[in-house]
Parts: sequence; C-alpha cells; structure tokens
Amino acid sequence: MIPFDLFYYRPDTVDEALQAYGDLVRQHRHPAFYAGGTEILTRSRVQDVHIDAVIDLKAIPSLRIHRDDGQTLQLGAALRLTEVADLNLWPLLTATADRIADYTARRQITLGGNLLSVLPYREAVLPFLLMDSAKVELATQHGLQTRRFADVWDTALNLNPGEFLVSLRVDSQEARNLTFRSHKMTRLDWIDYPLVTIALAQPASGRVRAAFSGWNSYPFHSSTVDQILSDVSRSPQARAADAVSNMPMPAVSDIHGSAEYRQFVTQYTLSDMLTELEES
Amino acid sequence: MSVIGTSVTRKEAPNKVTGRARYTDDVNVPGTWHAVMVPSQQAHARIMAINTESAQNVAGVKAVLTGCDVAILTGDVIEDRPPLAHEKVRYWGEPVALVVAHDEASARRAAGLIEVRYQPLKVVNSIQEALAANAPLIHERISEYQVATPPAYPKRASNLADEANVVKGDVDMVWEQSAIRVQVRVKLPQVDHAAMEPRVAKAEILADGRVLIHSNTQAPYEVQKLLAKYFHLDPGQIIVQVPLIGGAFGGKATVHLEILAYLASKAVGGHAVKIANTREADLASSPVGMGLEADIGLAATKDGRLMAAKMRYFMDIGAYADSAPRIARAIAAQCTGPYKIEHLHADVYCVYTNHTYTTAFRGFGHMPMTFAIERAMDELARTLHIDPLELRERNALAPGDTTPTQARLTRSNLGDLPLAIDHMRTLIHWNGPTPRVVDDRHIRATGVAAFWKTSSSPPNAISGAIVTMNGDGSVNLSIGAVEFGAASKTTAAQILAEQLRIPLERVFIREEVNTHVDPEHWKTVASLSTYMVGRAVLDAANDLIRQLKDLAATVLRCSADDLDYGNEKLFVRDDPSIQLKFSDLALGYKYQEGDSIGGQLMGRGHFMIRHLNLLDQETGQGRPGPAWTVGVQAVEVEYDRMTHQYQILTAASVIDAGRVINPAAAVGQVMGGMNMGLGVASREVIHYDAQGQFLSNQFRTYRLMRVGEQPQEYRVEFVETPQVDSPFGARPLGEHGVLAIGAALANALSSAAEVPLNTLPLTPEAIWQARRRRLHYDTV
Repeated sequence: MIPFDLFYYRPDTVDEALQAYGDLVRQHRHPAFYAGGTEILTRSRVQDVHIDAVIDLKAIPSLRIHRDDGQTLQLGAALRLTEVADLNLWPLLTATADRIADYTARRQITLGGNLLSVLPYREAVLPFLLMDSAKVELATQHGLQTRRFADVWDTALNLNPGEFLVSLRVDSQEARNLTFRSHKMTRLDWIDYPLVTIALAQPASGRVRAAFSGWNSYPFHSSTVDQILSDVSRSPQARAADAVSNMPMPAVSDIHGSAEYRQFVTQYTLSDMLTELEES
Repeated sequence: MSVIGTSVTRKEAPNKVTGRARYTDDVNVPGTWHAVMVPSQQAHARIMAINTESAQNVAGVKAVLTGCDVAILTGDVIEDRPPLAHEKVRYWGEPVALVVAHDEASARRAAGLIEVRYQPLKVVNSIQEALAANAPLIHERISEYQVATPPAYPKRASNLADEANVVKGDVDMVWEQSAIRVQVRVKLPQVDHAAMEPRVAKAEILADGRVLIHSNTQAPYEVQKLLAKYFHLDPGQIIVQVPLIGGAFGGKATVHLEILAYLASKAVGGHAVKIANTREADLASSPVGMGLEADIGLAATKDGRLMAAKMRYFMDIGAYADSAPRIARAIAAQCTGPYKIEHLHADVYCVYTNHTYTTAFRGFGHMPMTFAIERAMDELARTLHIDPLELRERNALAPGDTTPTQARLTRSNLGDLPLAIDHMRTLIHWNGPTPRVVDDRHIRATGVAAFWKTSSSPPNAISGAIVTMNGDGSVNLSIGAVEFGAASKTTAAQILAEQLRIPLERVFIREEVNTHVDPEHWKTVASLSTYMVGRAVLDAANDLIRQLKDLAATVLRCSADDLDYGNEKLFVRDDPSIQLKFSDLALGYKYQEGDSIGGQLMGRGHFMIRHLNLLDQETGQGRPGPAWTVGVQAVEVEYDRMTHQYQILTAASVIDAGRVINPAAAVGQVMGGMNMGLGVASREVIHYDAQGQFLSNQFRTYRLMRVGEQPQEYRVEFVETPQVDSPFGARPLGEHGVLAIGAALANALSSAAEVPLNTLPLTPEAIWQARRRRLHYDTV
C-alpha cells in the first residue's frame, strides 16, 4: 500500500498541467508529473519517493500524438510502450522498447516515463541517441519548446523543475533509411534488467552507430566506439574487442553481473550484431 | 472402484481456480488494527537509542514497542532470538520496533519516523569470516542460551550454534588404502522460499483470556505450545486457526509473526491486531533458506565401489539458529546419499553470520546436501570413466545395509533405487554423459543425480483424525494437517473413502485447521502427512466401522463379526439381504415403534511415530526417520560453447513412491518440485553487500524462474515398492522433486562446459568464471 495521501490532478491541456504544477509548488507541495506510474507507485510503496501530489499527463492529447507525415516522425511522451510497439512507426524503437520489463508493465510504462526513469537502463533512449535529427518537445514555463535531443541529454534528459516532455521527433528519412539491430542481454532470464542492451544502426551510406544501456549507470553513445565499429577492414570480432576496450567509461559490477562479464557479453554480442548487420 | 491410485481433483481446487478460496489475509474483522515492523538498516550494530516520539505522535498510533519492552528469547531448538532486537541487531531487516496503529497507512507512516541510532559493529558476512580467529561474536552470551529441544551444542565464545557428527567404521585406514579419491568443494548461497502468499498473523486477546491467532502457519500446534510457553499461558487458552495457505516450502514452519502479533495485541489491551509481511519483509526480515559450503571427499576402488567418505559441511544459518540444529542432523544422517559407504566421518557445523536467519526449506537440508554428494559422485564417475548411472546403481544401498547413523534398512523402509535408475534409462533414452554435438556452437548434455530422504522428525511426533457422520451416511473428516498446496487434505479424504468403501464425494474434509477442535498433528512438514495423518485416518475409520458394526449388530440381532460393509451399507455376510444403510445408523437407529438407540457415530484415530531416537552426540548413531524415499533425476541441456548460455530441454524424475495415491497430484507435486529445484540451481541467490545489506528484497532482484523459462519438457515416472507400515504402502513424496534436480543440472552443465561447476546459482556468468579460473580440481 501507499501509506501517505496524494493529491491527484488530471489536466486536459499542457497549460493546465503547467498551471497545476505552479500552483502546487506555491502551496509548498511536492508534485511529480505522472504517466505510467510504474516507478512512482512502486517507489511510493516503500516510501522511497517524497511527493504529495501527482499530475497525470495521460489525458493531454499532444502527449498521445503519433504520426509520420513522411517528413517527421512524432511520438507523444504518454504513449505506452505496448502502443509504441503496436503502432510500429519506427521499427528500431519497437525492437528496443519491446524488451523493456514485461508485457504487463509495458502496458503501463510510457515512452516519456522510460526516458525519464530514475533507473539506469532507460533503453527507449537508445534509438534517439543514434539519430542526428532527434528532437524533444518540452512544455516549459515559457511555452512549448523544441530542442535537439543531444542538447538536452548528457547522462539523462535534463529538464528543469516544472517542465515535462511532450513528444519526440526524428526525421522520417533518417529513421527509416537504416539497417539496425537491437539486442538485450541479461544475466539469464528473458525478463530482467540488462547486463547490456545494444542498439546498432547504419544509414544506407554512413558509418555504424552504437548506443548502450546497462554498461554503466546511464545509456550512452560514443563516436569513438562508432569509429571503431565502422572500420570494415577489420573483422567484427576485432572491432568488437576494440570497442569494448575503448568504451567512454568502465563497465559496472552489480548483482546482475561483474564488469568483466559485461565486457565479455558486450564483446560477443557486438560481434554477432555487426556480422548480422553487415550480412543483411 | 478404488479411490487409491486414481487421479482425483483436489478438494479445494474449484474454489482456488474461481478465486473463491480464502486465505488468512482475505478475511478481516472490521476494526482490526495493524502492526508494522521497523526493520534494521544495519547488519551488525549496537542499538544506542531508539527515538519513537514522532511515531507516537502520528494520528491513529496506538502503541510502539521496542526490544526493551519484550524481555524474552525465542527459538525452536536454541532460545537465541529476541522477538524485537534487543541491545544489538544481528541482520539487516531484523525487526527493531513494532508500531501498532488504527490502520495500516498510519502504522507504516509512523514506522518510517522511528529513528534508531546504531553503533556499527564489524559485519560477519560469510562463513569464513564467522570462523576466522578473532571473528566478532554475533552472540556474546551464547553459553547462557537455553537449549529448548535437545540435542544442540552451542559452542562458547564462538559463532558456532551447533555441530553434528557422524562416525562409522574406520575411515582413516580405509581412506589411505583406497585406490581412487576425489575431492569436491561446493558452495550454495542462501535462497528464499518465495511462497506466493507472504506470511501474515493476527492476534486478539479476549476478555475471558482466550488468545485467538489466525496465521498461515505450517505448525499451528507449535504456535499454540510456544506462545503458551513464552507468555505463561495455558495451551487451551490459545486457539490457532489456519485456512488455506498459498505455498509454504518450510518457511512457514517457524513461529515468527505470531509472536509479534501477540505482543502487539497485548500492548493495546488485547484488541485484534494484524501483521502482514510485504514481499520485502517476507524476503529480508522473515527467515530464508540456509547457505551451504561443503568439502566432500570420496574414496573408491578402481572398479567404482565406494569405500570411505570424509565430509565437512558449513551451514550459513544467518543470525539465529531456529531449526538449523535439526537440519544439521538431517544432513549428517543422510550425508552419503543413497549409497553404501561403510567408513565415514562427517561433521556438520551451524555457523552464525550477520545474514537473515534461516529455517526449514523444502527438503530440510537434503537439497544442498544432495548437491554436494551428487557432484562428488559425478566427479568420481568422470575420474573412473564409469557411466554415472551405473556408478550410482552399483553403490546403491540395499536391504540389510545400514545408514550413516547405523539404522537398519529393509526393502520396506528403503525402497528400490536400482529399479528407479533402470526406469530412468528408458525414460530419458540414456546414452551416457558424453555431450552430443548439435552444431558448431551448440552441444547437448544430460546429467543425472540420485537422492534419498527421510523425515528427521522428533521421536514423539503425533497425529490424529476425527470422523463424524452426517444423517445421510456421509462423513466429515477433521485432521490437524494444513493445506498449502500439497493435497494433504484430499489425500486424507481419499484414504478415509477407501477404508470406508464410499465415494470420495461422500467425504467432507475441513479445509481449515483450528487447534481448539481439530486433533493435533505435529507440523505439516517433512512430507509426512500421508504417512502420519493417513495412519490416524485409518485408525479413525476402523473405529467408526467398529461402531457401525456394533450398532448394526444390535439392531440386526447378530454378532458384529457376522457383518461386512460396502456401498454405505452393513450386511450379514452370509445373507446380504439382511442389511442396514449407514444413514440408518449415522445419528442413531430409530426402531419402527419410535424408540431409538445409539447417537451420532464418530470415529477417532491417532498415530505416533515409533522406533526413532535422537542421534548420539559422538557417532550420530540412531534412527532419524520411519522410512526413506529414493529417486533419480535427470536434466538435458543445450549449451552454447561460445556464450555459455543454456536451455533446459528436459527435466525428468523417477521416484519410488511406494504406492501412488493420486497420480495427477503426485506428478504435479514432482513437476513443481523440479521447477523449484531448477530455479534455485540456475538463478536464485540472496545477495548481501559488503556491509551485509540484503540486496535481493524484491522479485526484481530475487530472480525466480518465470513462466516461459521452465524446461521444454518434464517427465515423471514412479516405481512402487510399498512401505508396509504406511497407508496403502505410500511413501512421502511432497518435497522430493527438488532434491537432486539441481545436482543433475550441474552435472549436465559440467559435462557440457568441461569444467566442474560446484557453485550455485549456475548462471552463464558462473560457467564463464569457472572456465576462466579453470578451478583446480584434483584426483588425489
């Protein structure tokens, strides 16, 4: 059970949501934006979160948008991961997001919620890390703002208090004209946190790009690693080994696996994925 | 048609599958208050101060208790455990305070406000750290503890709660003379029972002094006895009620929350109070299953005959002893596995650590013990180039042999392992342990392992049964065994139906247990319900038949010896047309003139274990149980030589069931056991960090086998060598599916990966690490 009382707001517009947040802060409350609820509810159970109000964003139409007009692919932050997969507007995102948690949880977890999770994994980020054209649409005190994904992301999506994610955009051509692979590797089970999740994408003419989750405490993309992986004069095995030695930060050791084992798994998985990618 | 040996639906199944079954936490009397534990955030620390002021001020809070308010020590065998930590905490998650409030939310809010000031002590985080010279003492006053149920020998100024030994023959001489020796060191972590239903207890002290306890306990009569003892009550004052239980696996055999619920109720003037574990508390605060490290040495002849064994077992029992001394003796008494080894020395140590305390876990120590001996047996087979099934068959104990504790074995009390092994060969199309190549990366390998187990029950364990008749001649059955999914109620009903020669539908069995009205059954543990309850039920059935015959004899003006029965009728043997229906007699017989004789007929029956004794301190000599169940299990894996990932293709069991009472239930029980054993062996582990913090307190981090991750196929077969003193020859079967399946998995993977795998869980990383280290593995 959640042993404390919560105020619940369900605004119908972005403005109402921003307004509710501002009002609650002025009343010295501690509001949180709420979408799927899987983290807020489970952390509230164990009193690991200090909030007393939630603002449910799921009823705001602009957070539920999903369209591809041939120019821009746009996905609302409040789409459930199962909806993202069922719509399948972007197969790379489907492949990555469809391995998060289990089906029951994915019916609750939203795209925006996963991107802004407090957990290290946030695998739905990976496809966006691979796209030069990726943009976020944010609701801020100054109205809706669209920014480059790369400008808002370092180790997390950096939003100011009171701001929330409305939608994500990528260039349709960039998102579609690529070959890709996405693999999630776990300790043993199909459903578990990743030892490493790797998303690889290669534009029709261009070098391989790779993004990683689980290797460390946040998802990342490294141009050094891209460069190593793109050197087709070398075997996939050699490139994978080199990439693992040139990650921007060391692998973590935790209860899911040791750092050395993560390196081993990352290396053979990368090698397999490169082989598949280049044979396809 | 006989109801024994026929697959019948469990009595409680319709309610379970329609969601109508009621468990302890489903029935709540309005106005019941709630108690919430405050768990320790340190694994080993002195309690300097506990500030309860803010908690007391939360609206709705009725009482806050700490260890200072409860000056008792509890424990099944050794009384070493304060209900609430007193002066120090010994594991992360140990209850340090208890908040009682009007509602659960207030209690949880208040519990979060209790401030405990600790002075951290050096954490004893492993068996090695516990046994090291100058190790911090977890129990400074160990020598002052009372041993409530001997034998147990806590060692002064140490972290050893107990030690059990078995000595047989002349091990030193034979060891030296033997041609072949193998040594295996195994290491198994603590694991959790992970029953679907977390533990819950409710207590209420009525104005007349009666204490009402509702709990999902496996040991209602133990709850009654221990509460009476700890709180100086008459046992009759205490009424323990247990409805259906959602899985137990030994974890609900210890008396834990019931004590806290009683204390909470007492603190608020006897008001009804409930304490219900969250999953987190059920994992970290309530007892788990022990960890084990063991060194197994086997000596054999070149043709594979076992000659001698040297064994040392170190149990990670956690912070309190609970039933560990009993488990240590169970391990000692069965340490050889089902094999004849005439020269033997085994020492089993119960080691205190700053881990969550442990209690019985399905198999009562036999699962880790079996893992140790069966890994050693496979290494011996590998060393000798002998087929591993052949090696096991060749060394199987036989009638006339004696056990490690020198108990005599007969065909009846032992069963027939070679027959089971023979069936297994066919069941899995056994071709030996050599892996088969599938493609350039994948190979398939099969591992086998055998087991035996007896009950390790106390020599004075009792059971009882009461049968009352309804006016229509049907019967009601009351027994003291609880129902947690192993079909103990249905089995008892089947036995009664068979003996009374009536259809199973005519037996109405009480689903719940109430210590006030149901006859005592020791505990629903040790797979003993069929044997003990079954014997009591037979006794009660015979008593009822006697009464039916006596009354009918009077009415029919004949001798009771002239009467036989069937189809719910009593009839004169030589002229069955002279007959009476059960319904004519059930509530007394009414003559045509209206006058009547008799009364409601009710049969009573009881049973007491016989011929068992406590094991001798020096040699272990003694008889640990009425009979053994033997069996053999096998696992086939497909293994990826590059990634070390694997799939379990097939898991198989052949068990000597004596007589299968309910085939569908028996197969289900064994399949469930295999699933649990494979989960434990492949993925389950309780992690502690360097400070002893319990890291696996949710199912996100305590990984169980989930649907879709199970083996592709289960195969179960039984052989039937009757245990002649058991109802219809049936042997215990409840726990046994788990016992050797983990060892079989390790044996399969050791063959496939070409490296001895002696550490659980068997994750791909564990295999990768073992291959990297190329663990030195010696044939001395």
